[in-house]
Amino acid sequence: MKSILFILSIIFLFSCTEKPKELPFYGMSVVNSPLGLDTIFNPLPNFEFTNQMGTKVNNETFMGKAFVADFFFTSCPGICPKMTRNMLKIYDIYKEDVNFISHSVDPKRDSVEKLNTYANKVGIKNAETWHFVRAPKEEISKMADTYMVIAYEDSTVSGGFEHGGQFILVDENQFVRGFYNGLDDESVDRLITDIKLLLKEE
Amino acid sequence: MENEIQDKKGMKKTILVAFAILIGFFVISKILSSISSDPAQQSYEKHCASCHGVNGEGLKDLIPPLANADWLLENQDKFACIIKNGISGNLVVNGKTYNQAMDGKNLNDVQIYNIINYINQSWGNDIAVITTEDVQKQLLNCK
Repeated sequence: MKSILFILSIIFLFSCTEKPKELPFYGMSVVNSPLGLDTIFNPLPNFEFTNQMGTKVNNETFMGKAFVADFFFTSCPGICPKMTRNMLKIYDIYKEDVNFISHSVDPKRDSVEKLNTYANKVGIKNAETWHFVRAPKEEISKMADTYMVIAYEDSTVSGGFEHGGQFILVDENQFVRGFYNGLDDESVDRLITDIKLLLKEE
Repeated sequence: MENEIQDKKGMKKTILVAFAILIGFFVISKILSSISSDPAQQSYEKHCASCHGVNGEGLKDLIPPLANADWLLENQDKFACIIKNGISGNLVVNGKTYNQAMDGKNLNDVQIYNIINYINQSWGNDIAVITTEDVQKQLLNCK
């Protein structure tokens, strides 16, 4: 009996201590020293997209501020509205401190005008914080690979595109710091707490 | 000395009882919460709420509302088919034009029946309850 109480009290003790948490780095790493003690991660490679205002955006546009990225397309009949709904939830909390980028996976149909209409419909009237961007197909796949998520054309799925529902968290120096399921409320809440951590780090 | 042992025993008992009560509360609250959410609401929340919202409010100017929507009232005869097969093109709901395609849902007759009646009777909606026969008849005649 005593030992059970002891174990229980230990569990309680540990459940109360809050570990100072730091977000991990993701991506291809390079081991730097001969001893292999220094692991260096790569930031995002150079990119350039066109946003819903027809303006070119690139690494520089986003440098110095963390951002959340996802993949979608405006004529998506399935998961995209839910992702947009969840992204809006994050946007409402962090629009002052964090940028947002939604990559269209459908460059054929998603013209600047279409992206602009979609952005307006969800209440994003300018591209100061939230960019809805288009790029040639190869650029989109390259970006998806960098984020290590799925985004490709597939005529067998509804809407014609396969894309994961992930939200990707990128820090102010453009290192990938987290993956979340944009369709799952708990995962989105985790992203909300992680952004807080990341902002403290900066 | 004996008293002390008695005291210790008494304390152990109290702790045990406290634990039992805690666990009991936990179990009961879990059971209660699973009973109170009805299957119709669960189906709605699983298949519809991500776009139309848990309160049928829609999503900004992208997704039309289901709560107090004139369009819904006027299109009851197509409701089951729309859930089953989806819909696309312009829709004017409460004077506002929406144009976002919706996927058909892979649901059975009972689930569709549940969802329709849940929507028809929630958030201030007061549309007549339909029967499973109504749903089946509609589904046989989808265009």
